[in-house]
Order: sequence, then C-alpha cells, then structure tokens
Amino acid sequence: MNCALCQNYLDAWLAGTLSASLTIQVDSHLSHCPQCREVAELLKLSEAFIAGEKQTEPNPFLATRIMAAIEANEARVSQPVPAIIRLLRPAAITLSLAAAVFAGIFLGRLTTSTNLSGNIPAELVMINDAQMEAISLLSNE
Amino acid sequence: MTDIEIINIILEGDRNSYAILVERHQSMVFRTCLGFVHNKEDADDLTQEIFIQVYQSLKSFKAEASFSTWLYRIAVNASLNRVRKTSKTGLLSRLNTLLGSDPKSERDLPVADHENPEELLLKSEQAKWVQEALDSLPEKQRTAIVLSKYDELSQKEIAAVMGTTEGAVEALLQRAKANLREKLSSGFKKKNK
Repeated sequence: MNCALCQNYLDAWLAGTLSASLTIQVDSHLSHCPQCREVAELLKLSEAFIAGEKQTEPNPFLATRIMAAIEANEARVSQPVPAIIRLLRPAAITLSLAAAVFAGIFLGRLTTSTNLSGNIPAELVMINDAQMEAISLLSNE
Repeated sequence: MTDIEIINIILEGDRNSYAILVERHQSMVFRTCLGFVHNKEDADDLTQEIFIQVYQSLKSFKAEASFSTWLYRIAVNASLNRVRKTSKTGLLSRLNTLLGSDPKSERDLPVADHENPEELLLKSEQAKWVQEALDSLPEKQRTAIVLSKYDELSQKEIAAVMGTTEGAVEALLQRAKANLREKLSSGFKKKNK
C-alpha cells in the first residue's frame, strides 16, 4: 500500500469502518511511514475538534428569544405609519439628492481654472502657429 | 404532528405553534451554524436570525422538499453570508485576536484534567490549525463537510440540501477531505520549522 492509497483510507480507518484486511494493510503502512502517521494524527485532531464542537448546546432560552423577537417584529409592522411621514419621506429623499448634486457643482466651481496665457511671456503669445508654413513644405524646397 | 401540519396551523394564524417547530429543529440549525462560525454566541445569534427569517418566509414554503431540507438550505446560506461578511472584517478580527482582546478567539479541543499548561497550549494551537484548515476550504466543500460531519447527513440528504447529485456530493467530500489533509499537514510543518 502506498501513501496516497493509505491516506485515502484514513477517514474510514479512523471511523473503524474499513474491512479487516484493509485495516491490517493501513496499520502496517502506518507502522513504517512517519508522514502518513502524522496525517493520521492530524485527522484525529480534526475529528476531536468537530466532536468537541458538536457537544456544544444552543442557548436554552433560544426558542423564547426567537418567539419574543417575532412578536416584537409583528407589533412594529402592525403599527400604522403616520400619513404625514409617508408623504414627506419621498420628498425628503428627493431634496437630499438635489442638495448633494448642488453641493457637488458648487464645490467644483470653487476650484480656480488655470489661465495659461497669464503666465506665458508676451513674445510667445504673439506667435500664431496657424500662420506658419508647414515644415514639410519647407523641407521640399 | 408533522412539520407540514404545524406550518398549516401557523399560516392559519396560530403564531405560537411556531415554537414547536423551533424546538424541534433548533439543535440542527445551531450545529450547522457552529460548523461555519465555530463560536457559540455567534451560532446562537445566527440561529435566531435564521428562525426569524424562516417564520417570515413560511408562506413561500412550497413543500417540494421536506421542511428540514428547506431549513438546512436557509441555514447554510445564512452561515455562508455571515462567513463572507466576517472575512471582510477579518483584518480587524485577526488584530483583536493578536492583541488578546477578542474573547471569541478561544477554540479548544477537549482537554483532560491531568493535562499541564504546555499540553493545553499545544491543544489550543492544534485546534487553531484544524479550524483554519476547515475555514480555508472552498464554500461547496466546506458545506459538504459541515453537513456530513456536524449534521451527519447522508450523501443523498446532502445532495437534496445542496441541490445536486449524490455523485457530485461524493466527489466534493473526497476533495474536501484531501484538501483538509493537505492543509493540516502544511500547517503542522509550518509550526515545526
């Protein structure tokens, strides 16, 4: 039996559900393979971990808490929402959105726009590229 | 009374009968949640949320599958959602654990009275490897492992909950167990370096 096969059988070996002949083979392999022994030990740990968690019981008052929460939810739902709130709620949402849009526009306008011509020397401002002859025409002369 | 009969009574207006369903199935839901969140308080809270959600959805229960299958599906989905939400805040949680301020960080293997502090520390570390290995499985493999190991469902029952075939469940379990072996082994090697 090789390691891959042995490790495939380890779950059943731990659970005691392997056939007698396979159990003997796994036992024999584990007796001389430290790597598989280590994997077997780790699987035992994981089984012990799960077994420990399964022993945990839920809160004994869980059912009471659930029923109380359901009752509270139903009481809240059955209370009528005042008409004024029902009317004002969509208006309030719309006004908030509009305020957010205007605030964004206002903040955008606060940033100063750059005016390059204010920083360019007068000699360069006079140059009008559109009046210059194309370089390709000059090179053809 | 069967689950369907109780549900019909509830839908006719007898809300208090829901307590019967809760008491009948709360351990099963709790165990499923615990398999994902590994913490009693979180599992209690999640179980409560699930049963409230189930109550609100009772009208949509069509009895195409059994009530317990439907309940398992809701429990698994709620648990996975909780795990996804928790993993997004995982950095803060790990920081709390590192600083020792997270009381929920204790994960223990069963200990015997005669064990000394070193052995207890080793057991605590080993429990941490196991939990990390389980939590690192892909969602479908993790679900199959929880339903198999924690809820002890058969492959047929797991297939009904997951909406797949028995063959697919068998393959998932094989892959999950192989992944688990590999992750446990690599966790052990990292510790012993």
